Amino acid sequence: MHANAHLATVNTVVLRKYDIGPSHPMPGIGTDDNNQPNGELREAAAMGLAKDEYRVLASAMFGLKTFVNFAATMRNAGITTATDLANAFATNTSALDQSLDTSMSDDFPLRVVAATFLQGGPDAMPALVEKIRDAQKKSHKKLLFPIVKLVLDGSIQGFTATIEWPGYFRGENHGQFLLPPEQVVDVLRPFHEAGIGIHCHCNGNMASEVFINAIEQLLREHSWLDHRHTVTHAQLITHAQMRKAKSLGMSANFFVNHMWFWGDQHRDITVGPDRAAGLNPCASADRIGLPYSFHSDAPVTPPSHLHTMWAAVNRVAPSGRVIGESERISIDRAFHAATIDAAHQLHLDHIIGSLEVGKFADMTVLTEDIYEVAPEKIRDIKVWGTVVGGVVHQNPA
Amino acid sequence: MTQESQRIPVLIVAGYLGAGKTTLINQMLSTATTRIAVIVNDFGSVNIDAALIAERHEDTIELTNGCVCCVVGESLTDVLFAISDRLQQPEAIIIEASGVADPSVVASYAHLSGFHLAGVLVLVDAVNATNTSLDTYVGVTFARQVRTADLVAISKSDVATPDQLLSTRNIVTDLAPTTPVIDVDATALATLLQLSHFPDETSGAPLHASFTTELLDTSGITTDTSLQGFLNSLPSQTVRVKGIVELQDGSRVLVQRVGVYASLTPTTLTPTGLVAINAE
Repeated sequence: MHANAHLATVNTVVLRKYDIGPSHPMPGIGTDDNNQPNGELREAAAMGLAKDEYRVLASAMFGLKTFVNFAATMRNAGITTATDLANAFATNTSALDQSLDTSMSDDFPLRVVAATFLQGGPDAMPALVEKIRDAQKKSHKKLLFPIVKLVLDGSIQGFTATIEWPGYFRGENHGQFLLPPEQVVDVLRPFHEAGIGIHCHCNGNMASEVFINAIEQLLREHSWLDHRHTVTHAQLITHAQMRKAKSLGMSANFFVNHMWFWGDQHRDITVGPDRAAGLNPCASADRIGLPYSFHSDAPVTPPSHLHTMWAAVNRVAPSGRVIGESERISIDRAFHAATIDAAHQLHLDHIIGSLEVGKFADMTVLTEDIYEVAPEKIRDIKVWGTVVGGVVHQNPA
Repeated sequence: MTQESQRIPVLIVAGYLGAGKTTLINQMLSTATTRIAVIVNDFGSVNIDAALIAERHEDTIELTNGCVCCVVGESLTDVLFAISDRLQQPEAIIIEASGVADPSVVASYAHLSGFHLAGVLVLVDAVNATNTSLDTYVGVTFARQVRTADLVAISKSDVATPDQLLSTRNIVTDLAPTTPVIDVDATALATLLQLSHFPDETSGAPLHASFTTELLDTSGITTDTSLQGFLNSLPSQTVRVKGIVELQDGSRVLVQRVGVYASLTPTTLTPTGLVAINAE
């Protein structure tokens, strides 16, 4: 399974086992030049054709072993706190107990922020608030439940992000809200009122608009000055939206790795040169005063803050072109986005995000100084290991 | 391998928020004459009559009439597999698509092994359709839903103004000129969509005041191709066809046609002929 679980590849044995032939009615079965299935299965429905294999993979994805491997992967990348922005531990008592138990060990080299993933309509939410409150009561400082996550639209490269006029540069607009916009306030209200931070996936600027307006409405109804609600991805957020988000006390979590992984495609195909130059507008956010952090969206892009900082500082695409030079930021600014500003957004800046007396000794040990190397070399720095809560975790050689 | 005749038909009920999906599904559950399984987004809006509830679990509700209602949760695939693993498999499955879902994506799951697609019903709310179709955020979604429909059912026509109803009909016709459109209440619609066997209709008894039924002359049907051609030639007021026909080679085919979507599955059941249900 790959491409953020949009694609799976199976071998001939599997194709034969399930009679996946050229006349199968399922959409998304990849074929070769002779119209024969080539093993590619696109999207979840088609992957489900390989029933047994799909079930093995799907259950492994949520197993405890995967949680342990995830922590090791983060350690290798030099990450001390990882936010899982599609988590379900709080909804399942045995998964919650097991993950709390596992992560408490000193051998577990990671602090995890579990952002509970919101599914269903407004009626399903009050029960979820109770579950998150229970998880918060049980939690310890290596597995925390301060925020929830809502997904509002799709992706830019998939042409499913909801984009305001004039829409996509080339390619058909498949912009898709994943929740009816008029339900967003009702879905989010119980969390806002319970003091749970809200992070919302908004790749397109139409989604950002809906989310920011929803937060404005919630703040009119229920005051909470220090909510720190966050626009996740915020790739196409407009300057007007950033000014409003700033006024409302919100922040952004930019997907700066896109500047490298899809920078050329965004400039030439998806949103065109003008909007591509303004994607993930870090420097503009600084001018406006909107706080922000970075994410990798792993497994969509590799989990490495050396890479996100590098992308925000350089904004260079594989073609060598710089996409939006005026949105580049300094390494010092990028470093803050990857550390204390991220911690603040998670309501955790009192315990992590900087080195202060009384806070956890969470550190990334690098082989070179990010302030000393040439900006284009930041992502090439090696990670020796991490320190999490004072416990040293050296990476395997 | 699963026997073709054991594949469970899956009907997709789609439409924008407030179009009446839940009302229809409640109606289908409470009047079900066979075991159906319904997959919904959440239980909150499903207001099942308390007297009908046999057992309530976190993600399923078992009904006294043998039906079951399941929450989709994280994966539609997992829910479908769980339903097909049940000791007593349902005779039909209804999937309630979310209000913003692309019905064609939901329908693709009906092609998983053990199931077959029975068609995509899209509900269009006569009071709000005009505004929804023009909405900056969801106009595209609304249009995509209507274009994907095999059958469009206009809801709330009893409370819509004549102008709203006319405008709704025009919008639907513009988006999906060849798709049959019906305008009946949830009770009639639930009756129309029953995917089970149908001894009553073949007897010629009236199905519901909103429809007429007729036993079709199937004498010209000899092969799969001629069956397909026969179904394609039916008039647009024929919104539903079901029955079992025997072909020249002795093989039998179970026909379930909802709107323009016909699913043909091999069967060993006794031929019944084909019943057409026509809207007024």
